[in-house]
Amino acid sequence: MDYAIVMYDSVIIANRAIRLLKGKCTYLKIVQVPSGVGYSGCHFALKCKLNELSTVIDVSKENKIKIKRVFKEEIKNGKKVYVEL
Amino acid sequence: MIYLDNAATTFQKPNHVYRATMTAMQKYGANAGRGGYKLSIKAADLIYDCAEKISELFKIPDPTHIAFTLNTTAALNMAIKGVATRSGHIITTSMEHNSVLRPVMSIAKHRHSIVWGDKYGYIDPEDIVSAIRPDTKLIIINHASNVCGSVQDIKRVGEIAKDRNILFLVDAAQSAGSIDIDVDKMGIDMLAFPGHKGLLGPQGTGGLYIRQGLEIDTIIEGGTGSESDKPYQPAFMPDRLHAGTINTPAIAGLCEGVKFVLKTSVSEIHKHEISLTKQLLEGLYSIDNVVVFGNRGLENRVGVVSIKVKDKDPVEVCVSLDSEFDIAVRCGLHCAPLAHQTIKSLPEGTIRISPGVFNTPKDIDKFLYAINSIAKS
Repeated sequence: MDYAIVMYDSVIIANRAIRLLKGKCTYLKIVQVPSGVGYSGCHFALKCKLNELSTVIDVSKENKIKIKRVFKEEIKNGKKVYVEL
Repeated sequence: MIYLDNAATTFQKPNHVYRATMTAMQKYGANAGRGGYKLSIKAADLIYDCAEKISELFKIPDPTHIAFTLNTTAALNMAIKGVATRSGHIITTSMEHNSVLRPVMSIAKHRHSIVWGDKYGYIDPEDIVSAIRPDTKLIIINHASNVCGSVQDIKRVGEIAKDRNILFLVDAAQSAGSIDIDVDKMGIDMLAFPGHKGLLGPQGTGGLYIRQGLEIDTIIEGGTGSESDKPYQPAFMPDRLHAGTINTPAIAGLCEGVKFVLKTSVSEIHKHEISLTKQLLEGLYSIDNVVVFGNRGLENRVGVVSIKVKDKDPVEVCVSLDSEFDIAVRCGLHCAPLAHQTIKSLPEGTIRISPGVFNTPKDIDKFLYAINSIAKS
């Protein structure tokens, strides 16, 4: 299964997004953004299934929630890598 | 003991408030937004949950525009200093608490105007219009008086501010949880509220709502658990005003307090408090030597009543109520000196009785018996 990482301004804002998405996605989790995406420091995101990413983006836009960045999580040579979408 | 000082802080609280506070400390007392582990995420979820409930109460469209603060005073300082430290004329009223008057005097000693209320503690909104100058930046008004319970026409003041593109800050210290507030309908740009009074949360809780699109300067900066690669305070809410660790256990308790208010309904709580106030006022009017300050009726008021007993020091009366009758009320100036000047109760101030949601008619009967005994002695 492929996943996407949808990065928000803060954990509270990610909380808002996850509540608005309740019942609309089969997998959603608030995660700390992995440093592998190229951002150091504390950032929070929603991890969702890649095929449900459009729902996350649409609901965020509908509710004027700013998305900072979106990444696809891939496994390459047994290692997680992140590709910005 | 009969507690009639709910204007200072409500006591008792709903049982869920005590339980939720303790549960947060025992089960998930991690630091919200400071880690990706389950407990930290749970703590952040709980804080958002409380913001969501508060937004339901005040009809705030986006819960992320509420910042939690230590109390109303902290919220008012953030709002006042966040928009008017450097420039701009401020209009406020004689009914304000020192939590407004002192920050205003601190930053705008020579660029503010005080609009005076009548002897019943009411501000005429047209007097605010008269005080507006070309450089007026901010209007601050106390929704309900902590001295005599007068409730101001904030909807009208909100219209006045909006029509003239002036920021409007409401101090809801005595009204939050007792009177319906709708930030959009009332034209409120910033709303400062306590968590530990009408919202029935623990002490050390309060909040500040900032409307979307309004960015204020900060008076405290620090760690937020976001954008920590940058040495500047984030621009977005609530992190802009959330510097440092948030009081998660108390906010867990506050969340339950707000749920209680929503479930009971603000109008029912108001009805209960006004019913007790009616009983209190009727009893007081029948006692010789007792003077009631402010509005003698029940319209446009909350359950805060100020009195004095002729020829008796208010402090001595409060001491007698406490020591002889086990009744807790507050006497003095209630941190609102200009309000006492307005209602003509200076210099000694008043005895303030403020029933709350958990008081009963029996409590009021006992208070009336006690004050009658003291007045006759």
